[in-house]
Amino acid sequence: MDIAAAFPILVLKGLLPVAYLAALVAYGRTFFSDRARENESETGPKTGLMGVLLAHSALLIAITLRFQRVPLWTLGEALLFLGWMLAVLHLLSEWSAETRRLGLFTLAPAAACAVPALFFLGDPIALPPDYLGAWFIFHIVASLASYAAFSLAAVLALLYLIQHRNLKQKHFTLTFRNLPPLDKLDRLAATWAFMGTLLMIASSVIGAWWVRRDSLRGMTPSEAGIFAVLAIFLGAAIARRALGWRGKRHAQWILLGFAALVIANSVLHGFFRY
Amino acid sequence: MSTHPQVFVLGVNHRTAPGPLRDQLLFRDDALPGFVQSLLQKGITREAVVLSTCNRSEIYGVAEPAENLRPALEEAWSDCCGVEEKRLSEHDYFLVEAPAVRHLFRVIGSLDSMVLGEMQILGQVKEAYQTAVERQWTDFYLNHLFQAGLHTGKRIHSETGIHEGAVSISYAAVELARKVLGDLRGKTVGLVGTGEMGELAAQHLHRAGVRAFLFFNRSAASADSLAATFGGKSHTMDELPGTMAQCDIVISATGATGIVITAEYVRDAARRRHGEPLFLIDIAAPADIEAAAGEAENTFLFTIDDLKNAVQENVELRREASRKAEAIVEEEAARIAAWTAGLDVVPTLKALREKYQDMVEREIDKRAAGATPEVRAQLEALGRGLLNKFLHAPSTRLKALGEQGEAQRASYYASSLFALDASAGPAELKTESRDKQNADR
Repeated sequence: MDIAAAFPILVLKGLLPVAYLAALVAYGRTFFSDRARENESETGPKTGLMGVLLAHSALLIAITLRFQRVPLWTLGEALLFLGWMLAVLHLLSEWSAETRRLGLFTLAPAAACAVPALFFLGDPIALPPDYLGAWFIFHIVASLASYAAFSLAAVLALLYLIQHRNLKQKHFTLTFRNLPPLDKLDRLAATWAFMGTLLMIASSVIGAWWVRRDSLRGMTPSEAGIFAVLAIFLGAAIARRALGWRGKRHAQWILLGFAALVIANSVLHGFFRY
Repeated sequence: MSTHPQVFVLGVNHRTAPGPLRDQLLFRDDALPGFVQSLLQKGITREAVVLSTCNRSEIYGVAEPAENLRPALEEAWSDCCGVEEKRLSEHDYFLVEAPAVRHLFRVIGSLDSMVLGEMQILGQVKEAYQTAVERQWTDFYLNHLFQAGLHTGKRIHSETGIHEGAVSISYAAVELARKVLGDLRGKTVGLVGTGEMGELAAQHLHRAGVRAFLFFNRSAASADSLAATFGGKSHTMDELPGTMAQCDIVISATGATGIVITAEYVRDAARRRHGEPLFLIDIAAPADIEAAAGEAENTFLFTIDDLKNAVQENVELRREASRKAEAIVEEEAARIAAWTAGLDVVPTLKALREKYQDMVEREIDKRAAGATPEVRAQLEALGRGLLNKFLHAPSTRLKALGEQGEAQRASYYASSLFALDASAGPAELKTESRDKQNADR
């Protein structure tokens, strides 16, 4: 291995877990604060998140330069890219939710993907030329972005259920005080689930275009699994609008869809085997 | 012994005096200027700020010394408000120097309030101080003290959660509604019954931005009256089942002896709301809303007992936060104590500057006789510059020693070293020094 060329990657691989840990600690302090109102002058989470995004983006760029391709193909590469997507979506979610109290939970999945990914990152592997085309890259990026959106929606749905339970059982605990209002959690979860659905539809259309497939015949089990996931999320979105299945019922649908997504990508497909 | 004036406070509050007496001792707006002017003219105090709210009336002032002022102040106050002096003295408190400073800071930080953490007091103190400033009742000492006090209040406000969480039943209802629905602006509130609690909750909700109210009552007149106060529509009780689906929040506070809102009404409303959350608050005793109503989907029911529990939690949190607030008060009071101690070196600093200023001026007069105005101006600028440079280090050091509680010793040695006016040093040190000289002889 060319040590000089790999040096920036080694340094960034060392930095990334530290950046995630620092950001999660800062978000944890914000969440577990005994203050009912957020301290807007607190800069720890913002600085931590900037550190994470910088380190993670720099690592992806360094790998892209060294491998001469976007790192999306091995388990390590895909997990690293998924983690980066989750961190970016976390930033967008923080902007739209106007709260940093969710950060501990919405950034944690990014860390959970990025840190293990570092152990699976190996030397560059040779890929068939078909896999280097723009359509395939769009397909994978849209697919990973949809996974990220579904993961975020699942975290928010879980938080909704926790807050729902607190309210129903009248548990005025720290979690109750510091989680955002129930209606906000419901709307955020629904928004990200819908975004994930759109991205997954885009990814499927691009994928079908890439393999020149015009029918559902000959579908692999993992493809069938992904279609099941899509059906669940699409069904949840339609039921929400048409039948008023909001709140607890919608959160449960999102969690069901997310569980299906995990099964489709692990049991049916094996982790990111292309 | 300290050589600077002392800050004092004479007052009554909700702990020391009963409500009717506090009402009598309130300073009316028309009587206040005359009262303070008489204190200033008689020389009882050099500066004054008067704080007068429904829970406390307090006179803050500065005098040299202040320890013996209590009778004169009590006499003036009892004359002003027509309360027997003996009665006043049985219920008032008089604090001087550090305890007075700490008291003011605790008052501003709402640590001395009837409801711990209520932040209205900060505005009331600000207003009292502003009045005093506008009428020129304050000067150096009270200006510094009140500005430091207001800074302390802001620190307590921003660094602790002492003011957070509702501590009244009606406000707790609003806070809980926010926990379910988020921003309440644009939401519709149904108020069933027109009792005092319901009206209070409506007031809080109106303040939170709610503008759409539906008032349900047996008597159309009461509902119309509330509708006129808060805006919104009045309805009869019979219209409740059909109209409830329009409401995001329903507050029930009737005096009825049985159930007013059944679970069936709520289930029907929830169904017609198409999944939108419905927040129900029952603050009536006995309950107005059937308990099973809370089991409907996306429906959240809170009773008066739930609200009491929420209030109790918040009271505990405020108590917890008050410990942090007390630490801030101590820290800021210590700063004031250091500042006050530092004031003891002011006469020495003044004497030092005057002496050398005089020297510089005399020297310039001698050297610049017959010189042009330009040359004289240059020499004066040079003299001022040198004077400032030479005196900078001793002045800074003297102030620092003063703030460390060494004002008297530092002043004495500075006076000896710089041959200042003998009155600048403390008598005991001068005696000590004279004895030493005699012994040496």
